[in-house]
Amino acid sequence: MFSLDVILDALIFSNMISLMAIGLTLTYQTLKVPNFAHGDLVTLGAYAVLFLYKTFNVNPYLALPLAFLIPAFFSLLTYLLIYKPLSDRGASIVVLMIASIAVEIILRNMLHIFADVMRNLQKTYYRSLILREKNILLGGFSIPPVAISSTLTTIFVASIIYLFLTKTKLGVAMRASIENPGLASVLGIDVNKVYSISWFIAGGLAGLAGLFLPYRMPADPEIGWGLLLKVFSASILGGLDNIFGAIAGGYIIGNVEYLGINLLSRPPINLSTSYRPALPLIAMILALLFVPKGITSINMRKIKKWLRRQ
Amino acid sequence: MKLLGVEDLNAGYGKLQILYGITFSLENKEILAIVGPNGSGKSTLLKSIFGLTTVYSGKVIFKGEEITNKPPHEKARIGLAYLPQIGNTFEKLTVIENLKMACYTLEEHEVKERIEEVLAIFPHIKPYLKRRVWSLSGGERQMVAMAMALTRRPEIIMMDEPSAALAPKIASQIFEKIVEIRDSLGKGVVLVEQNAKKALEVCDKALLLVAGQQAFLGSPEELLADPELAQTYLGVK
Repeated sequence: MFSLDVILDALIFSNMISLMAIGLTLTYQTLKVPNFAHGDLVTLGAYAVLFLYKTFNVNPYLALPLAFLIPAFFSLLTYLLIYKPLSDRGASIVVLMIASIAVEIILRNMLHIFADVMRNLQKTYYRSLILREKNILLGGFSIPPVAISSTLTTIFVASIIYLFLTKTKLGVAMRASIENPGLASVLGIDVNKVYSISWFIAGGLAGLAGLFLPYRMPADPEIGWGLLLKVFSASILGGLDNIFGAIAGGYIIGNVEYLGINLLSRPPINLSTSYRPALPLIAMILALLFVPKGITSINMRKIKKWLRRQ
Repeated sequence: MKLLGVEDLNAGYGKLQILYGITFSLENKEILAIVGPNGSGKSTLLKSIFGLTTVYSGKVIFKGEEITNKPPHEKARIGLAYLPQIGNTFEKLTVIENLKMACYTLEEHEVKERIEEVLAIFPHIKPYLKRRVWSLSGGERQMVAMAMALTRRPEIIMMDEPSAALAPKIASQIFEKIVEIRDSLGKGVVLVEQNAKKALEVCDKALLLVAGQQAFLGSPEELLADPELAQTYLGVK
């Protein structure tokens, strides 16, 4: 029904959206701020990798720690210097959201300046950068390495986050602080520290998505901003209160976009592929109409009962 | 020695004064029931003792030391426990995770001991350790909240309507536990209750609040014997 290339494209894209949606959901849960600057953290990660690769010829995968750390620290700083002080002064969610839009504009334009600097260093005309790698043969199939690396990374991140949130004291304290910060602080949990860690992890995961991005699409300073709406769709599909909902949402959005347009552009529908960006938004609207609390709110027991009755 | 003393307390929220000149004291192994009609300031009194309101004048004294203006987490550390009516557990966490969070500031080796200690008092919740709190019944949740408060071995436990929204049979169970906390653990209990009849049955001292003023302080028998107070404000005959 689908060619292997299409399936792998959808998989890689889903992995990236999932990594971003985990972070967006994490930061949303702490201060209830929809962080508009989240997409640009992805760009920041991508540029960290591209800069090292283009100027020092560092293998992109070896640049992974920096791709994680630079956006992670940036995200942590925005929390400590902007969102936390505003929230302490009683800023409403709208104020926090506007502040995040301001951060977004500043960061995106800083990246534009950086892209110009990089272009001058490279002495090229184009600013869009892309990473190339040779496909590897696996069981007779030709597979781009990024399909494997991004999938492994997403599985690894999801398992680590699961273990962290359920098995470690700090992780449980994170869930506790997110649910009831008042009670958590009375019990002696340093809510501010826990929230700082959330923002750090969120930025880092966005950076990891940025590492894989230039393998699939030309990276320019606008790329993360362009993806933001899809990431929001994935988070909202996941219910905005659940990391694993966000991962599932990421896979749904990624597959709806890539597999969906592939189906719809065939006969008899022959839809123009320029409608591709609309598909994840339609998926989000449908989700909001039918499962407004996200896919994690779907009651499996009720569905099973209903199926049995049919 | 007095465990807790409140002297001429005037408190409220911002500029809105709710409480006027409240004075009472609490000893070890004593239950004080704060009763009164809706909106008389019962919950505000508990919050004021714990430092969650604005105190204009008056003193809160814990074991001879004035603690009026200490922040809530400091009061929790020195031995006061406060159980709000809502939001007193982490509903999305399991029971055991809730108990572990209650022991957050304790050393690792103490945690196990404290949890076993409180589970001995609340055997009802022992089978549900791996269940999430939202899936428990109201009475079980209240017991989790009380167990969480007791892990820190407080000397005073202040409860805001522990029997609210519970079936009468379950409410009785909760009251039994409150008596047990007093008798076998020897703690002081401050209890705010809508269910005046039940609260007056178990308490040693009763404080009747009417419109933020102290209308009565004394033994529950005396309060019940006063037909005017008991019938007008509590509906107890």
